[in-house]
Amino acid sequence: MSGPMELAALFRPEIALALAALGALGFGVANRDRRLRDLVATGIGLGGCGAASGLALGAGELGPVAAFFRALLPLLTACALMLIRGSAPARHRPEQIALMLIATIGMMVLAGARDLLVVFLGLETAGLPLVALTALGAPGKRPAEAALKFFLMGALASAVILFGMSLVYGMTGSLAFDALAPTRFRDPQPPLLLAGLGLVLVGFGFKVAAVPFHLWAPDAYAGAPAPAAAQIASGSKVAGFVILTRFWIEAAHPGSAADGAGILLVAVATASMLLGNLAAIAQQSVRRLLGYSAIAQGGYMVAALGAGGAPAAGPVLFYAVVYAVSVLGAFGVVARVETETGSDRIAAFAGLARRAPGSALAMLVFLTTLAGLPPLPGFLGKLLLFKSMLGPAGVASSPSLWLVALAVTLSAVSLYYYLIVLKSIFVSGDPPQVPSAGPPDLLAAGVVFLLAIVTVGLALAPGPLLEALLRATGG
Amino acid sequence: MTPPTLMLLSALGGAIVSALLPARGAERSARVVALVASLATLGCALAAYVGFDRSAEADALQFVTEIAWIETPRIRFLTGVDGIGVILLLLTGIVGVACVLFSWNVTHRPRAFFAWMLLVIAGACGVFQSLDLVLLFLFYEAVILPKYFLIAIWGSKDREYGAMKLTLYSVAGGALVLLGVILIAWQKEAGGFSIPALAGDRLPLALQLWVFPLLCVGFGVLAGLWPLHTWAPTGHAAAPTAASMLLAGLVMKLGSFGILRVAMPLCADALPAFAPALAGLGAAGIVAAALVALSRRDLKLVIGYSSVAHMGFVLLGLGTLDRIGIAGAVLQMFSHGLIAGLLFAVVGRMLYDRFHTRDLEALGALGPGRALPAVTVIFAAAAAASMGMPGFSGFIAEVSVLLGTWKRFPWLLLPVGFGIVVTAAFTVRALQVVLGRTRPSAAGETPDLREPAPAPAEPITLAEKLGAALLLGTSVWAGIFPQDLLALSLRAIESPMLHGIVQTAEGLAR
Repeated sequence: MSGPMELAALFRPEIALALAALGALGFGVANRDRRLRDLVATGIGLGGCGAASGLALGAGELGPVAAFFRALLPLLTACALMLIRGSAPARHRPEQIALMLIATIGMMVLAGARDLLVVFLGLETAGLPLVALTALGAPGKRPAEAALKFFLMGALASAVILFGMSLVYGMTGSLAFDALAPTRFRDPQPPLLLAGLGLVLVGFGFKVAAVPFHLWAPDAYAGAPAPAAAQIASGSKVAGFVILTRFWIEAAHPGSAADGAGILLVAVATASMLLGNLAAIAQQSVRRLLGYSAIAQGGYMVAALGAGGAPAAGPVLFYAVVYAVSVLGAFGVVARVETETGSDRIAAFAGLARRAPGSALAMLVFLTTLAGLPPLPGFLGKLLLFKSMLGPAGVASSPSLWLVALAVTLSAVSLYYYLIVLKSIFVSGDPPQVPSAGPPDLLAAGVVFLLAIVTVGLALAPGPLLEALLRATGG
Repeated sequence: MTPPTLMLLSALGGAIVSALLPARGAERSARVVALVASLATLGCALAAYVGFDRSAEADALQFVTEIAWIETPRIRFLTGVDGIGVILLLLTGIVGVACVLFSWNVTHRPRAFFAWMLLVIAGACGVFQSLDLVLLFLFYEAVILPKYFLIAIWGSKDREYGAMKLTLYSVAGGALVLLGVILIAWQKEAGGFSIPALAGDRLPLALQLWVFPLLCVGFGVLAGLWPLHTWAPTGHAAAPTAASMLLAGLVMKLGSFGILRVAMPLCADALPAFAPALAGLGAAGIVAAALVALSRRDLKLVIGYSSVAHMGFVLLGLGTLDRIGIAGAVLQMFSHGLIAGLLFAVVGRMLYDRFHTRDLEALGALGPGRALPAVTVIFAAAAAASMGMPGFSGFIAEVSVLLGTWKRFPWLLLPVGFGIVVTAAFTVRALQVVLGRTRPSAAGETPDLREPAPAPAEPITLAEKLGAALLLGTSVWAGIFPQDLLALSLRAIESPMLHGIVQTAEGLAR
């Protein structure tokens, strides 16, 4: 597949998104009526996402994992887009939509990449629009600071990845995933190659908000406009895990848990789990709480990859999907509360169960999923994830036992801070000042409802998705 | 569809219907829905109890339902009951109906109240009939949030503290169990998680020695295993009446059932190493909790600690690894569910809702016994049952446990006997202060025997009388005709699934 026509055929979903982004921007420039402009731009954006998803579903050239996630990512973006009507700021809506679509293109490229150079392109395409979106956030939430942190951290991660890539290229003469594997298991292992791989892996950690590139996450989650924050939390994270998993399995070929790169991942994961969970306990803002918990959740998944190797790929991707769906829904409810009360503090959620029983129940579903409490799908996800950390049956290694014990313990700790939010929703009375009720945002309410249904559906029948992902990853 | 499955569905369905009721007239409609749903669960439980085939050639596990759910890893909706499961389902049905009857006066957010309550009942139903390890754990953990909300929203003094403490303890226990489940899944994934199969084809001994403490302590947290029991008194005291009854009647049983159904059969080879510790902690719980109960003035705390003491008998019985001892533990689970439920109903619904105090002396000064003669009768009977008087279910249960203890750990009878005396002491003290003596007398002073006018109180309602009659009647029935319950448990203990437990112990004795 070298000719431009074949490439264009391969990139049909991305091209559809790019056209939709241009359409939304163009219509925004051409039209002065803000309401109409926003409405049409939203429509174009949703249409573009739908088209891209449909086109990607039919394209299996890049392998089953890539096909699945290239179809899923635009759908996640579409869900995030639907939160845009009520969210602050009201200006620059078409531009926001266009940026979200462009970021999605980058994520889809990431999901399908089989060469480190393409990965880098995808990372930048997915990263920069999200930085710009973060900077567009409501003035009271310090969006500029968040965007700057996001940008600097991303630039640093990019530099680390580029340096790692240059080492890898120097040692192997290629950047394609499949060319790396044979060199990697030469005996003795070239230390520079190991260093290169390590740098690339740690750099990917930026995308999934793993320590040490985690600092941007809580600020970006708190500062960005709601749809963008939802996209950063869901689609961007999923894309990060897809590329991390695929690179780890297809290019780095993890051997035993004692492998240097595996130990590096486990160390990164342990730090993320500890930091994310402990810092989340102290948060007063629900967005920041979700930001820190995202660091922790990423930690569980990275730990499984590092300790479990290839068999962990299926569970990790399953958990990533479950996580993305529920965190997206949680942001939907946060957006609603913000529109109503102007705040995302835990106290602002007080009395939500009386005010909006539907949203409250949906939040119960999302947060219990994130906490991994049965019967919601987060439980099954965590069970498989934690089990895969132990490696193949019969070969007990006590470090991985301790890793699982730590993960289970911290997961139990996490219930505490999710429960604090639920307590505010269900137990506390009405908030001090009753907010003025505007016209209901049907689009946002609809997407929250839909995501809650999907989450419950994944609890009742996790089989199809789980089977598909296990098969796709060869598990 | 089998009666146990139907029971689970009727509780779940009741919860959903109750949550979806229209707001208008919800006070009345919600409790009617809850009553209908809980009567349906009781009906199903009775159908299972009566329909359970007791003939010698019948299968030990009956009403088995198997529905494929997830292929890899192989997790199935696999349910069924043995004699022990039937007994506990019956308890679930009875306690459920009694809870609704004693919640007849709930007017604050009634739809949510009855929905959460029925979810707890559904979770208990699920645990008692699960034969798939993951399914059992799923139901076990699904109870955590409903009970949190029941206490945090409808509770009384210190409700948010009590609810959060209970939840954190439950989650911590759940985390230990989850670790055990992960270890089992890691070793035995290919064959699925059928508990009977896992009990037949056990883990390597080295791993059992790790898994058993995890499972036993994890489940033990909910069973009131000393010294991890401290959630129980505060949780019971903070909870609304129905939730106290559910906690003492069902939730604590989930823990002890988990030990008996999962921890012991799956790690039977590790039992000789740990059983003395389990029995010892059970005995310690009996003595320690009884002593603390003697020193408390809050009537609900007194009963909360007595609950822990009674659950100590269950753990002691399980720890004996003896047929009679384990059968006694099962009977004690059944008996304690009824009696503790009744005691909490008397204190929470009959006394606290009317006199707004649970302080022993303050209550005594109000003379509730004379104001409400029905309370005198019910409380006296419940106290007698709680002390293990013959004629009530507690007697035969405790005697069986003590018989088992005598065979295996005769020296433990000494502290346990002391604990029984202390139990009688604090029960009589509570009874005397609340119903008999009017006010405390300073030392040396002649007791004041003049009767002050009792505080006015609304009379005991029909719902309360029915609920009390249901619980007391069952306890008396089980106390006078325990043969069937004992035979059911003994049969279950002999079944292939649980046989490993007594087998290892007998190997040890030889």
